[in-house]
Amino acid sequence: MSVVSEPGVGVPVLSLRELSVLLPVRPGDIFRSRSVPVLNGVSLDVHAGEIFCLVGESGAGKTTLLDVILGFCVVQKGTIRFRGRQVEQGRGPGRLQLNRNTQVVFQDPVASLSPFRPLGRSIVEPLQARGADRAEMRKTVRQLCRRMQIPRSLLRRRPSQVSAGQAQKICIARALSTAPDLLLLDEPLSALDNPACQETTMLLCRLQREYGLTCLLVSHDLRLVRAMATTVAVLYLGRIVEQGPADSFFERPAHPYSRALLSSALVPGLWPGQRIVLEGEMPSPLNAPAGCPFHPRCPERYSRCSRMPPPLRHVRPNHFVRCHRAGQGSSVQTATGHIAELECCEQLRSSQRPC
Amino acid sequence: MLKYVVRRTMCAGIVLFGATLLTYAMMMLAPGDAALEVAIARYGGRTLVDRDTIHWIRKKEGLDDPLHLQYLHWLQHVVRLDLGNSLVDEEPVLDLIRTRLPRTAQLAGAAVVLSLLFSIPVGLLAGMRQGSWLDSLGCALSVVGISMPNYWLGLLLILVFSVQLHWLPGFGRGDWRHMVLPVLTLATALTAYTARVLRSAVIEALQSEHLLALRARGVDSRLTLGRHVLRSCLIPVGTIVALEFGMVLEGAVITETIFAWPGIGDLLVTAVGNRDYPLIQGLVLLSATTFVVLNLLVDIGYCLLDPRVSLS
Amino acid sequence: MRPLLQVENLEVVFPGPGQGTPVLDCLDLALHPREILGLVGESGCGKSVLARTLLRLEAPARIVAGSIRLAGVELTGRSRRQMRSIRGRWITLAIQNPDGAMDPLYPMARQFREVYAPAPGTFTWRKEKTAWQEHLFRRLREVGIGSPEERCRQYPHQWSRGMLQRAQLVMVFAARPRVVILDEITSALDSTVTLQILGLIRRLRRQYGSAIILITHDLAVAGEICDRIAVMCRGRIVEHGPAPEVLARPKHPYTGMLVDGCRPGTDPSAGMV
Repeated sequence: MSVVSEPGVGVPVLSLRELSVLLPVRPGDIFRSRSVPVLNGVSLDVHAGEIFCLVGESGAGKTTLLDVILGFCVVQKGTIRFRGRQVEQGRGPGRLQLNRNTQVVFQDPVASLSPFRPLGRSIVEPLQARGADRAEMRKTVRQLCRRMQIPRSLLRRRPSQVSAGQAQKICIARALSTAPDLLLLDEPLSALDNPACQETTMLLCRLQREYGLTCLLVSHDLRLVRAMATTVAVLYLGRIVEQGPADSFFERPAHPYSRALLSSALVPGLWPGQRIVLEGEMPSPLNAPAGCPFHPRCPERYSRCSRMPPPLRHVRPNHFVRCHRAGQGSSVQTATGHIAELECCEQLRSSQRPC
Repeated sequence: MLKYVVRRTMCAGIVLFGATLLTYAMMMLAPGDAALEVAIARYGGRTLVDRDTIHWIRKKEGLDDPLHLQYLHWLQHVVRLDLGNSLVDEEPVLDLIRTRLPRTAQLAGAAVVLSLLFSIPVGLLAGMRQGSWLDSLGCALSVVGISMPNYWLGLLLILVFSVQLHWLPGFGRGDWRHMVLPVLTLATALTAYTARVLRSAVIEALQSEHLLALRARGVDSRLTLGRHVLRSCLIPVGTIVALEFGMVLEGAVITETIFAWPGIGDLLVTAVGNRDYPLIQGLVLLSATTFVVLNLLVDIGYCLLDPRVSLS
Repeated sequence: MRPLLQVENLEVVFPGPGQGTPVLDCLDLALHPREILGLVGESGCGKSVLARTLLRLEAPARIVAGSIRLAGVELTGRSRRQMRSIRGRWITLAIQNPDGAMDPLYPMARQFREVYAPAPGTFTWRKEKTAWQEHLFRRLREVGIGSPEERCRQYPHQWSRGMLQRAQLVMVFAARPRVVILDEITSALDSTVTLQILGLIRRLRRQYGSAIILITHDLAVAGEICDRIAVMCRGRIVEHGPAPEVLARPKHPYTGMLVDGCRPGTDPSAGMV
């Protein structure tokens, strides 16, 4: 059973199946005599026009996943498909197509802009790399500035002369300059102050609607995820532990870790119930616990959790979770504060397509 | 750690091979007739040699053979730890090195010790009093020290202290007074360099976050803070001092020639002039080995001094 | 109740051309015993400079005017030697970067010893070594660091950021100070770990009775545990009051903007910048 969306919605823009990335225990160990999985069987689909948000804390493997998609990291197992076409390891037509039609917005805007170019020139860097002519570049800059309300005076400055929020705006403009099929966003707000965060969030939402962007957003900031996401997946120690439509996820998160994340986000209205304080921290892949990787910190663990890795279960349409507790009829606290019973797994499965 | 040392030793073999090969190639490309130069050196003058002698030397020492054969021939002896005999004196190269090396080591050791004696206080003061007149003075002196070429400095010192003032002997080897001027010449650049490195390290340590955090917690005694600062300076300064031994070997060549100090540097200069191949190769091998060992010690030292560094 | 720490009209400048660049401008602040005061402001408003100034570690900046009174004692005129006895016991600071707070070249045990062991150099400290070690291990277990005997032999780069931040808290509270300043200590941590640390701060306040200034750029974090909140903008306090009031009914427009920034999801059709 894999975490795929229903067929017939069109070929997904990006499709990952059972992706596994191993890291050798001793750096430089070319024979990889002992390796640990940094990503473990990750599968996801990003459809056109969808904003897929990957949520997780540091050490979960989010950066590795982006590295894999961009081709910076070698994959031991699994496949990547871009618009239905297989993406090879190393240089190949599939990889080339993915890289040409994907743009990235990075975490640190000032660092990802060339300090030697004025910002106006940075916006058209991808176009320049494709050999576009000056007229086209100028037209693109004009259009983007109008759309994103970037003042012309900003274009003449250098990255060190502007605030992080303004620099991130330029990076987003740069990413949109080639009208990419897929936009990757790697923690786009973490280097920004709160007011700039809000501005940038509104901007991204508006652009996504206007351009119909397909995005894969990686973030630990649940405010942004709430504003933008259509689908949310939670990553813990290299595995997706929960995935579902955004509304379903925020309304009733099914995995104890998801609930703890929502509770710790400190966003008013996101988790009105009592705070869930977890013990300990996410272990490193070198010390991955047996059974369910989350069980040492889980407030709802029981005997089976330390013995067997949890299976993937449907809890609602298109909403999956890897937890022994899910679908057992156990009581869970929902975001609205009501105590509700999870539907029985059999009941759910009968109303959905077979996995 | 052992595996690392073994791996580095094997790499070292390649470095040494490369160094000697390069030296050999350069010697071969040098203009002039090797046999002629050797004959002149051996018999004491151009007028005292004739064509037959030159021919005989050429045949005897195998200077006629193709280049690669000569090199291989030499290599074969080296692996048996036989560095051959000097073409001029016909003494074993190893013996020559054995006699002369301690004399150079004397100079080198004294120079490094003297440089540390001066550079540590200067560097510490300049770093702690950054921006003050002491700091500016220290920096200015460092610049002067680094910029003075040691042949110029050596000649200047001889001129002043030996010729004009007659306080110290200007050349040769004898008692401690003969050592003063050459050691001063060698130590000047070393002192300047070490002082600058120490100053930067001290400034960086004093501005570090953990020092602020320490003081904020109430750990504010000069002794404790000083220990933290010195410990962080140990790594850059230790590296420099270890590499200084290598630098001194270079400087020794010129200094020994100027002061007529009978050490390794002086031997090398003579050997190059005489086209004394076995001796040159032997000395190059010695130099290269010294550098390789020093670098290995520095890397191991890093690992021991900084817990964040691992040898892989 | 008289405030424990009273700052009045504080003016601090960075050395520069002319009079220098002002960093703190007529700043007034009051901290009462046993309270957690949240100091909220964006980066660049001078929060960290204020924190260092309160400990008289403001160099290279300079205090040009104003007063800082800690339990009635004026700090602005104190010499370095006098401040040495005040820091640590009366007022301390924990910094944002947990990696930077520890010396990377010393094992953790040595760094704890500098704070916990009685003054080295006196002859008694060796005999009492086991006593302070037991005390330390107990404290470490209390803050959630398991197997402290083994852990203390390690170096800082082998501890996770959350653990290092806890270690910093243990060191900072070692001498039971009256005032503790926490400078953005949760900013570099994950959200679940932040929640743990906030709970720990509450517990430590209960245990030691210290007054705490929690500096943060995130109003939500301040709203979580602070009794009172002071909002800082460009070197001065623009608003202060009980936390629920400041969050629910902000008076200053800057505070209003910060409060809006905390809300989840935004209406995308709302007006643009």
